[in-house]
Parts: sequence; structure tokens; C-alpha cells
Amino acid sequence: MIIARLARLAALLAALALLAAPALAQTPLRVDVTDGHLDPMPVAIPDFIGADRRAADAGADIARVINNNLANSGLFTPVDPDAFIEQIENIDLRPRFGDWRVINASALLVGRVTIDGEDRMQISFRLWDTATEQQLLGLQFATTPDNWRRIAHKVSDAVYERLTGEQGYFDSRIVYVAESTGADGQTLRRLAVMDQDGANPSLLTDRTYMALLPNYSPSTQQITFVAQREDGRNMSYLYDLATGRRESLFDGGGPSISGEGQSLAPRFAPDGRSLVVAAERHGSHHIFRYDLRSRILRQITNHPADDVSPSYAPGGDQIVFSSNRSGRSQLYVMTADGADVTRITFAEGQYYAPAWSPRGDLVAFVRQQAGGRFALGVVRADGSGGERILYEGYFVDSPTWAPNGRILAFTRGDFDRNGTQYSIWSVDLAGFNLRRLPTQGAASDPAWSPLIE
Amino acid sequence: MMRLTFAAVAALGLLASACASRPDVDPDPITNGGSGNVTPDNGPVQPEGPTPGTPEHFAATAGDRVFYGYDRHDLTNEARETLRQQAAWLASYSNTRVLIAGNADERGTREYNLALGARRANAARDFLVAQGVDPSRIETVSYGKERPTCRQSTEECWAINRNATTVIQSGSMS
Amino acid sequence: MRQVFGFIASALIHLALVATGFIYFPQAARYASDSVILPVELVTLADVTNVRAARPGPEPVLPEPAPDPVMPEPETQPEPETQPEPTPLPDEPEPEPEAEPEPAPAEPVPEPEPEPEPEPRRQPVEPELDLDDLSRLIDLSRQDTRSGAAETGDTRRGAGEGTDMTATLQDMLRSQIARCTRSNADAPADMDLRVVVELRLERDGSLTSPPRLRDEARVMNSPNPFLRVAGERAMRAVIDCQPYRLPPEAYAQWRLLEVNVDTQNNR
Repeated sequence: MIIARLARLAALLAALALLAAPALAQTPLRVDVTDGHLDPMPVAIPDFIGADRRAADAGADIARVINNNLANSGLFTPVDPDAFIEQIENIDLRPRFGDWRVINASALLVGRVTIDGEDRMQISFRLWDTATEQQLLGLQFATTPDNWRRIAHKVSDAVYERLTGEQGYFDSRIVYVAESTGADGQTLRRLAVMDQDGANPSLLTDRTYMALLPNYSPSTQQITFVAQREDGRNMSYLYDLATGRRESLFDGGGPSISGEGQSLAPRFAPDGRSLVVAAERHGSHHIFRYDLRSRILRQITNHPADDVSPSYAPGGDQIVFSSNRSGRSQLYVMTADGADVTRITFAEGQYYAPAWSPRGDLVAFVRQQAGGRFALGVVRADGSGGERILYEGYFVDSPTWAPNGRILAFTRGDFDRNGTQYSIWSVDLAGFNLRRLPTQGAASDPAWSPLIE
Repeated sequence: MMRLTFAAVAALGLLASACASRPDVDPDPITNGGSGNVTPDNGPVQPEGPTPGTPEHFAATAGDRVFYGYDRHDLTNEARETLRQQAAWLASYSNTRVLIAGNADERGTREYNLALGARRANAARDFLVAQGVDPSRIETVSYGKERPTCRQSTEECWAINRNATTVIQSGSMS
Repeated sequence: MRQVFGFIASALIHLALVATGFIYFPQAARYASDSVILPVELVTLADVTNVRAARPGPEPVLPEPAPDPVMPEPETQPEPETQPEPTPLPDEPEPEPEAEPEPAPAEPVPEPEPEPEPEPRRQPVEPELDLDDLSRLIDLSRQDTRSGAAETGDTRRGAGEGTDMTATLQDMLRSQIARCTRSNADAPADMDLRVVVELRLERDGSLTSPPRLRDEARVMNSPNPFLRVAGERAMRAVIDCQPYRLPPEAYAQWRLLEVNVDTQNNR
């Protein structure tokens, strides 16, 4: 009996061994996948849960801001909450993934808001991959309740980064020129700032002078701009967001560029220590570098034509600018000292307002084409490989990069017989996802801040 | 035909210049079309009209603005003629100082147009200086495209807005 | 004696199960440790524009802003001076995510590497080894193996006579998977983002077991977030894509797949 059993078992084990061999030997079919789609990823973001009414309301607001951010990025598409099957009640339990897969949600973001007796808000969230059923992220932020919107942006950035591999850009702001009509019918142009999604707009400057062409400092604490003052002069200014103090850079106590020349829109070097600016000297415009500590102003281009709109490379070692030295306005790159000036655009038409990408590889530009229409485009910083047009229209100005270099905001002008209508739009690097940034009234000259720290 | 168009634009421009002392008012180049021809053909002094030596007088007799081609800052023959009259007027009223403001149309980017406006103002100033006006009497600024005379999105409007406008700063002491 | 044999056999099978567990579980284990709520310090400079000094310094040329009806002036901004403090570690125990209703479907039970059909889920709870049961399973496996081997033979022959069928299957899979795959074309161009996913398919085109990412540790622990995302995108794609629509008669050829995903330059 035992022997029989033993023999049977031995046979069994042998069979097991035999069985494994051919299966292991079988060669898998090899498939090379080189194509993919670029469709937005469906993400389900139910309202963050809250133990009480106040927390639940905040949770709904936070989910709304995150949904909006991710949708606006063009890389995600929020799943309609009406389709949700599972009701999230506890974010520390694994979701029923099937319920989310069946509504085609590739990722699920669940969160919880608690507000304690000392008015401290905690926001916890978990990001799930519904296909692999893995948690991709689980984080918690603490703040005060009035800061909920910034937390929503930070959560959006975390989700964006986890799902794309790329740095986010939602916790950032945009400074721009808000247009309005004064009592005398003249157009007023004042600096305003808003969150990247258009929330929290507020004005920075008053109606006694025109403020134009703002740019953020790397610290996000200061803004440079051009003031077209009552005396008619255009002068470069520095505005400190913390103190509200404005400082004229090149007159008054500062170095004088020339007796009566104007100075235009300064932009910060990536290290924040110096500015680069176009200013008029002896009748034409040149690029200058201004050291903010030593207050030394150094002219770095010298050509009888007009060199304007300088913009630093993120490494700080190069500068792109526009110049009509060839007859028509084109873009040029040079070292930070003004050496090795190299033209990078060659096509028909004129190029203006270059902005070096924070990634370093591309330069965004405005191009005025034959026939007068405008385009927003990008070209490699070394001018190779041609250019890519992202938007074409009646008028374009002032491209500015989102902190991660994936999105550009710009001034768009739309034809209206009684006066061009200006507004701020954004578009992604592929030329998709064109959308208007909400501003109250006409707006122009957007400049995106770096990520707020 | 080209010539005709240009004449019309120039006439409109002169019309617009008549409004220069009232910069808040947008002249309507269409409806005001009839009474445009105020180009003086004799010396700087007009028997009737604005008080001699005033900004109004300057505008009416010499013409207070000159126009430029698209994306240009070189002076046309018409512009030179106007500037010669401005120089003659300034010679007659030697106590005056002027501000020359360069303007651009809206079909250019903001910063480029600030530079272009400065170029236009400088071109006008340089011509006046060449005509004997003391450079210390002249100040220049650029309004870029920020202070257009005419706001409509038409070629006519843009042509009017491409100018350098000479404004008498301090009234004549004479 | 009988019990000794039973014990040995049982130990063998359990060992096998544990071994397969190691094949699939490292990933799950790693993620589980991630699921701890991490405190994140929100360094808050309260919103910069909100923190304004009451009185800017004297400024000769540019006077102070006057009130504007449309947008709030900076002065009227609320001042959330409140600093979101750095979060302390939460007191709550590590929330070990547990399947709420039924653990089984939430965490698909991995199956032994070479085996196809048997239901290993049942075996651990089997109180005593039943050789008859085991024999039945082996018989089933044998059948499967036999047909598999036969078809494998076909493939070898096919390779000699022409790889039409192989090429066709590859094309079918390529186009099906490409439709499910989010391209990496938006990642920086100078990165190597190739990943390989190994699949085992049922005859109906569904996955027999969760797909395996080859070099998983290298990919998922890469300091390059784009590579990690590439791995996740590939895994998501092959899961989303099931059931695969493939000719059943060629099952033996597509039962095991090695999918090389490199979608960076597809634009």
C-alpha cells in the first residue's frame, strides 16, 4: 500500500518536472511597440472627504481645483463624478478597483480633509493606479484653512509629477497687465497678479502711469517692469511683492543709462543676482547687464541697430534677444558677456519677444509672417531643426513659459474693428490645448512665475 | 492709385494732428473727412486762427506730426517738409521747448514698438537739429503703441498712429 | 510514514508557492511601505502678494495705487499670515491598505511560474495532501502541455518555412497594444525609456496573471522619474488592453508574450 503510494508520488513528481520543462522552454512571442497615443489620461477625483460640514466643503473645493488644474494641463481628463460607482468613505482602505476601471478611470485620487480645534487643516491623499492596483502616492499636507487653494495646487503638482514624470507647475502665479479704460477714455495698463488658474487676481500698480512687460524674479518675490510715466519716459522698475515698494532701476539713485534714453523690460538672470535689459544709448537700443549688488551696468551689445527683449538661458550662460541688425527683426543668441552672437532664425517675416525655455532646449518667439499675421512658435536654442508653430492668429505677443517648460502663455489679440481685443491664452508645446486664462477685462503681457517655494 | 491712397492718409493724418491738443478724443477719420486741408503754404505766421506762439498755433501752421511707413523710422519727403516748417516755427519762437513723442501702430509687439517709437522720435529730432534747432530745446520720448490717436483696427488708423508728434512744452514767451 | 510523505509533498508545494510569491510580491511589498502617509512640510511663505508691508517707501515718480472698483487692491488683500506648520508624523498606525470587502480579487493571487491551469489559491487551505486531486491536476496540466508542445512544434516548423503567422500575430498585438499605450513622446529626447513587459495570456485573450515588468527594480527605483512612468505606462497598457483579440488556433504562439515598449520617438 505504502509502496504503491510512494511509486505514485514518485511518478507524480516526475510528471511535475516534465511538465515544467516544455513550458519553460517555450519562447515568448516578442512584440515591439513603438507607437502610442497622446490622449489625456482619465483620472477620477472624488470630493475629498471630511468628517464635518466645513471639512467636507473644503474637500469639495480642493477636488474642484485639482480637477480643473489637471484638465487644464491637457494631459488628463477628469472622469465625470456622476459615473462614480464606489463612494469613498475611508481613504485608508483599498478602493474597489473594478468600480473605477469600469468607468475607465486609469488613476484614482482620494483625499481627506480634517480641521482640528486649533484651526489647523490637514489634507491627506492617496493616488491609485487602477490597472496595477498599486498606490502611487500617499501624502499629507498641513496648513491653515485659508491656504486650502495652495494645497490644492500642491496636490495637483504631486499628482502631475507622479503620473507624468515631469515637474508640475500648478503652484505658480502669473503677473500680467490688466487693461481698463480711465475716466478720460484713455487705456489704463496696470500690473496684476493671479494664480496660474486665474484665481485670486489683485492689482499691484495704480492708474497714474502705465505698467508694461512685467517679469518675475527667480525667488518669485520681485517683479521687473517698464513704467511709461507721466513724463512720458519709459523706465525699468523693480517691484517688491513683500513690501510693495517700487524702485526705478536706472535713474534717481541708480546708474544712468544715458541722458535721455529709455530703458525697457528687464529680466532676471537665473541666479537672481543680475538683470539683463534693453536700453537706449546714443540713439539705438543695446543689451545691458545690470548687477544688482554692485549696481554696475555693463553694455554687452553694440550695434547701430536695435537690440531688444533679452532673455537668459536657464543656465545663465547665454542670452537670446531680438535685433533688426539684418534689416528685419530676427533672434540671436550670445554668451552672457555678449560674445559669439549667432543668429538662430532665418525664415521669412520678423521674429520678436524671445523667451528661453526653463528646460533650456527651446526658445519661444513671436513671428510676424508675410501678410501681417502673427504666430507663436518655438525653435531650438541653437537654431537647428526648424521651428514649430504652436498658434497662429491676428496678433501675438509676450510668450512666457510655465515653470516646467511644457506650456506657454501669451498675449493674444483678436480683430475687432473698433479696437483689437487683448487676452491671455495658453497652449502646450505640441500646439494643443489652447485655452484662455480667465482675467477680468482685457489683459496682456503675461509672465509666469517659477514654482512658489 | 497708390498715390491717391497716400494723399488720403496724409490728409487724415493732418486731420488727426489738428486734434493733438485734445489727445483724449479719438478723431473719427471717416466722418471728419471733409475739412481736412489745413496745410499752410506760406510762412510760419498766420494772420488769423490760434494765437501765435501757442501749441495750437504750432500745430495749425507748422503741423505737429510726421508720419512713417510700416516698421520704418526713416523720414518721407512729406515728413521732411513738415519738419522744415517746424524748424522755421521754432526759429521764430526761440523760447519754446518741444517734446517729440514717437508712436507706433498696434501691429507690432510691445517692446519692439517702444524701441521703434524712440527711433521715430530720434529721427524727427535729428532732422530738426540739422535744420538748426538747438538740441537742448528738444526732448524725445516713445509712447510705443500705448497712446494711439486712432483706435480702430484699420490700415488708415494704423497709418495715423505711426508718427512722431512734436508738442510745444513751454508756451512762447514772446 | 504516510504523514511524512504528505508533509514532504506539502512542504514542496508550499515552498513553490512561497517562491512564486517572491516573484510577484516584491512589488506589492514595496508599494505597501509607500502607502504610509508621509508628512510633507509645506514651506509656506504665505502667498507672497498677501504679505505686504503697510506702507511702501516714498517713491517720487510713481504714486500709490488708488482704489479700483474691479479688482481688489493689494492693500485690501486678506492677510493669511498664518504659517502652515510642518506636519508632524501622524499618530495613527500605518494604514495598511486592506481590501475592504474581499481581499482575494483586490490582490490577485499569483500563480506558480510555469503552471497554467491549477487553482493554487485552494491549495494552501487544503488540510491534507490529496494525491488524487494532485494527479487530476497534473493530468489537466499534461493535456495543456501536450497541446502546447504540439503547437510549439508547429512554430518551429513555421520558422523554417516562413514566419507569416508570427509576423501577423506581432502586427495584431502591436496595433492593439499601441492603442492602449500612452506615448512617452513628451519625455526628454535624450533618455532611454525602453521597458519590457512579460505577459501570460489565457486562451480567451485575458491575462493569466499580472504582467511582469522585466528589470522591475531598475525601472521602478530609477532616479529618472520618466523611466518609472514609462514602466507604469507599459504595465497599464498591457492590462488595459486585455482581452487580446488573437486567433485561438495559434494560442501556443501567443500564450507567452514579451512586449518591448519604446514609444519615445513616435512623433
